[in-house]
This record gives sequence, structure tokens and C-alpha cells, in this order.
Amino acid sequence: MVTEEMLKVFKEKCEGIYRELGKDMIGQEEVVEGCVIAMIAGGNVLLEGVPGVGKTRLVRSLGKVFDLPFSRIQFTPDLMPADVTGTNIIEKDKDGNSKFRFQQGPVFTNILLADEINRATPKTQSALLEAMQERTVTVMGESYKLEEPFFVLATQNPIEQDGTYPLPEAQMDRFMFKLVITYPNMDELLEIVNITQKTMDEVAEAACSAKELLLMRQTAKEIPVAEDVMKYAMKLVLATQPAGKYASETAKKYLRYGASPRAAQALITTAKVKALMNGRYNVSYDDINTLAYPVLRHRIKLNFEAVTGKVTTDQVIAGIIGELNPKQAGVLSALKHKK
Amino acid sequence: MEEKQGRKTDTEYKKKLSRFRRVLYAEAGIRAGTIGLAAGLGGAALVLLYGRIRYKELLPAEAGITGIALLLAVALFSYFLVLRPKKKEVLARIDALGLQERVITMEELKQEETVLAKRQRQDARERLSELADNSMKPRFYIKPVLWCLAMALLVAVLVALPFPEETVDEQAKQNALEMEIVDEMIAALREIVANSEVNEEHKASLNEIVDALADSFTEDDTTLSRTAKIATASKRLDILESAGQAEITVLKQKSETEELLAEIEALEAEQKLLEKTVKEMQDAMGTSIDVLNQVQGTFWTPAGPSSGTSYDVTPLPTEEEQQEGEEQAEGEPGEGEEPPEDGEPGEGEPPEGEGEPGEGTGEGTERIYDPEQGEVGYGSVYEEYYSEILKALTETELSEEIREIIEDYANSLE
Repeated sequence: MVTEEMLKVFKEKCEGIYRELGKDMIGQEEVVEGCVIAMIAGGNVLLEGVPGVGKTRLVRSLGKVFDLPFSRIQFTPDLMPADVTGTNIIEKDKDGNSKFRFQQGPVFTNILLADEINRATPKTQSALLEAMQERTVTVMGESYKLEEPFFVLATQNPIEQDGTYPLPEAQMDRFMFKLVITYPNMDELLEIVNITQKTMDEVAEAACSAKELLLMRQTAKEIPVAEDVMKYAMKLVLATQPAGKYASETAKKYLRYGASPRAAQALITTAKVKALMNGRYNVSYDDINTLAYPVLRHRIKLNFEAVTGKVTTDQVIAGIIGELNPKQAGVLSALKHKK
Repeated sequence: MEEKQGRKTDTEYKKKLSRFRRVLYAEAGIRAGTIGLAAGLGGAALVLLYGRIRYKELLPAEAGITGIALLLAVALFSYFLVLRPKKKEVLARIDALGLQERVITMEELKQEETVLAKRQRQDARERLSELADNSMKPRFYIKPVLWCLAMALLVAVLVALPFPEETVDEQAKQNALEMEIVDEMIAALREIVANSEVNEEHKASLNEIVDALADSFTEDDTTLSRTAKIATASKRLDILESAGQAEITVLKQKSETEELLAEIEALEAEQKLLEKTVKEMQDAMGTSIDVLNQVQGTFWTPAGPSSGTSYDVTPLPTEEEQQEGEEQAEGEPGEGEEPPEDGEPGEGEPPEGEGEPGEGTGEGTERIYDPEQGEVGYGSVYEEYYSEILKALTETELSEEIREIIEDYANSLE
């Protein structure tokens, strides 16, 4: 049951988190907000961006702000699952007897940066993805629970696609958000350079503990959703399925398949967090529409017509939202949203 | 203090809600009224159109009543059953003022007493009270207005549009009228025959002529063909009359036995009755021809001669004239035995001058065979008559059949 204290804590902590993150991250408000929402909601984020735009720095800053241990895995084609999860190693005890001891892998952390996840083999990818979904790691039949909160920020490089293993759609579904990090503009770049000339280290300080993060998660879960808003979110997800009863014309035209029920869960969970972060005690249509992009863009598959027509997933999502909200179609143009 | 503040906010919220609701009800009312007006105008337009097509006139009273009835019915139905916003719709419209579903969520949580529900309600009321009283503006729906304008335009066009000229088939009207005249003539002829005192044989012959005449008329006949048919029937009457007279003449040439004299007397009496009957019938035919010509003149002024042309209906000779003709005929040799001279009709042939309807045969055999002896010299009217016929033939559209009849008739007059 949510108390006044919990609401107060949530508000204060949110303000602190953004304040501190703002010290290290210049620009990228959408990405920063998306990561914070995902962390509070208990989900994972797939981050797509070219090298050098601040992905690692973001994860480090998040680690500092939430006062959580942070790990980084650079995925390469030769990375083995054991390199991610850990493995049993043989060691001798005091008596000289050999025994197995589980050596935890880098996944045993609270915040994990899985850099260029698409470069690792599917086998290695699935080792991480199991951890993301189940919050457990199974090695040689034995399961090890990961400590909460557990947040994975996986990255993909949109440029170097040679020799990569694109994540299968079923695995993509496990990411709550897919965020696109872009190049900074002139002012942002200027500020970045100015800051980093002084120090390259992250200067953000802890603004929230793990316990408080979990409390925030619990608080956000209680936020009410009006029946109409809930139905709207469901309609939105169902509208992405081209063969479904509620398929939109845009989906029929451009999609091979649509989002799963996980998308609906992610949409509502994150919308609650967003509403509370905005000082509201209920979810609105705007929350659903805004979060539809990061929630859906990696869960829908474009068909041949969309690919040849150079239609992006964001444009498709905007089209679907426009069909459900004719008056808002002009506002929610995909030009404002990134892939 | 907080409680007081809460109550104040509550009151303000309810007032504002009520105010916004009234605006939305008014919006629905205006919209329903506009839709009703469009329906009313549409109904009026339909009635006006119906009046134009069916009765060739405007039906303003009916259109007005229909329009008003439809306006009221559609407006009331639209407002109360379709457009009047329900509570949820009112709340959704209020949320659309920037409240981001606060009000509708508040409505759903109104029974809950959790901390979150209370905070949510409080937040919603605060935001609602921040809205200006005139924040809720009625929406303008263009479609019903456009429909109204379109229907109004249609009504205006239907009212202002002049009625087209009489499009009823005048020819059909004329035709119907002529058929009526002809039917009346046939009925009159049958009555004359029925009331006649001639013997049954003559009655049968007369009825046969009348029946044949009645059967000859069709819907496709022109005025001229109808008059020509009547003229032909009149000729047949003349022939019948002549045949009777010829029989008497032949008998008179035989030895005058008592028996024969009695027979001749009977035949003469019968002939008189026949002549009387034929005269009556030809009078009726002549009248009908006059009326037909008048009707034709009313509907159409042809280039031909039929308009205003009146057939010269020469009255039948009196009894004295008939006797005179008979005495003259007695002195002449059997005309039936000698071959007819040129220009003179033989036995059984229609006598000269008998081609004109109404022209009597009562002038006797001499008159029949010698038109120069008639009251109006045939020779003096023949040229005029013939030129009118020629004019009619050249300037009037006639079927081949009628043209032949007329040509034959005209030629026979020579």
C-alpha cells in the first residue's frame, strides 16, 4: 500500500536522480529519461547508437546515481557464455582436495553494460538474456539468483553490421525499451567538450539507493490507470498485429508481425512510472503515446514493402497512433522520434 | 483548516464541473438542432420535389409541415438518444482541456480511500479549479452546417425554379378528346338506328355500317383520317340509300300491277324512312367532323387546311325536292342497264357529289347523277375543295393509307 511517505520519497528521489545525471550527461534527455524509467520499472534497455556518444558514460553515471555496482562486458564473437555468467572453477581446499567453486561472471552486478551485444554469438547472447528475464543464472544445473535491482543496458552499433549476429525477435522482446542515442547538437557538443576538458570522470553523486529504487518501483506500480486508458493501451498493441482483429491499416500495410503481450505489460508499467515522475497520480493517453515508441519499435517487424519504401518503425508507430487518435496524428509525427 | 480547504475545493470543483457540463449540453443541443434543421430542410425539399413532379405545383404548406415535423423529431431524437453527452464523455472532454485523464481517473477512484486515490482526487480537483470558467468552449461541427446549407440551397432552387412548359403530350390529349368525340358519335348513330322505323334488314345494314366505322377507329388515327373514315361511312350510307332508290326505280319500270304498285308504295315508304335515318346519321357525322376540326384547331394549327375548314354540310332535300327528283328519274331509261357515261356513276357506285359527308342524296337520282342541279353547285366549290385537299396532302404528315384514301376520294370527285 502506497503511503504519503513513499510518494514523497519518489518525488524527491526523482528530482535528485535527474539533477545528478544532468551533471554527467549533456542532452539526450529522452535516453536518460528512458533509462531511468526502465530502471524504476524493473526493465532492461537496448541502446542503439554510434560509438562515442556516451553510452558507457550513461551507464557509469546511472551506477553512481543509484549507488549500484556497475559492470561492463564488451561482446565479441569469441565471447563464451561462461564469460558472461561465470563458471565453475576447480580449486584446492586447505586439505588439498579439489572442488568446484562457482566464479561469478560480470553479469553478477546491479547495472550491466553489455556493449555491442550483437557481436556475440547467439549462444552467448542467450546466456545474458536468460539472466535478464529470469534474474537467475544457471551453470551446470545450478541456479544462482541475481541481486535486485538488476538492470541491463545493451548496446548495438547501427553502422558496423558485418560479422554480427542480430538479436532474434524473441530475444528483443525481453528489452523493455529500445532507445536511440544520437549525435549531440552544437550547443551540447560544446558543453560536453567543456566539461570533459576539466575531467573525464563522472561527477554525479549518489541520489538513490537500491532499496529506495525498489521502493520507487513499488510505488509506481500502484498508480491507477483509468479503464479507458488501459483499453487504449491494449488497442494500441493489438493494432500492431497485421493479421489480428484490431489491426490498423498501417500495420496491415507495413508490418510482418506485431508486438506481443509483453509490450502491453511494458507500456502500462512504464506509463505509471512516467506519470508519477511528472507529478501525476494517474496514467494519461499522452504517457501511452509517448512511451509507445521505445516500447514498440523493437517488437514490430517491418515487411518488404516498408523496407523498400524506406519506412521506419517509428513512422509505422506514428501512423498507428494517428489512426487511433485522428486529432493527434499531426502532433505525433515520426519525424520527432528516432528509430 | 485543511478540511475546510478541501471542502472549498470540492465545492468549486462541482460548480466548475456543472458549468462545463452545461456548455457540453448546449453544444449537443446546437448540434442536434443543426442536424434537425438539415433533416427538416431535406424533408421539405423532398415534398417540394414530389409536388413538382406529381402535381406540377409547389406544395408549400405540406413542405413546411413536413420540414417542421422532421426538424423537431430529428433534433429531439439526436439530442436525447445520440448526442447528449454521458457523464464519462463529459469527464473525457474536461480531461481534454489539459488535465491528462485526471478527472476520469478520479471518477473511477471515487469510492477508494487509499492514500493514492485521495492524492489523485486532490490533484485532479486542484487542476480543475485552475481552469478558467470559460475554458470549455463548445466545438463547432462543420458537417451539419454544410448539410443545412446544402438542403437550404436545394429548397431555394426548388422554389425558385420556374415550372417547365406543358410537357404533357398534347397530341395524346387531342387524340383522347377526338376518340371521345368519335365514341359519342358512334353512340349517337346507334341510337338513331335503334330508334329508326326502318325495317330490320335496313337496320342490320345500318348497324353494319356503324359497326364497321366504330371498328375502323384506332388510337393512331389522325384527325384527318378520322374525318376521312367518317366520310367513307357517310358514303356507304349514301350507297345504301341509292340502292333502295334504284330498286324502286327499277320496279317502277315494270308493268304496274296492283301488287307491284303496292310493293313500290311500301318500298317508297321504307325508302323515306331510310332517307330520314340516313339524314339524321349524316347530320350526326357532320357535327362530329366539325367538332373534330375545332379540336384540332385548338391543339394545333397545322399548315394544312384542316384548321378552320368546315365541311359544307348541305342539308338533305325536302320531300318536295325528293318527289321532283323521283318524277324526273321515272322518265329516264333504266340507268342500271346502260353502261355509265363518263363522269357519271353507275348503279351501286357512290353518286357524284355524295363523297362529301352530310351531303344529302335526297335530291333524287337526277341530283345524284347531276350535281349541277344541287343547291350549291358542286362545280363552284370543287376547285376550292380540291386545292384544300392538295394543301392538306402536301403540308400535313399523313400515313400512306390515309393519303391513298384522300387521293382516291379527291380523284373520284372529278
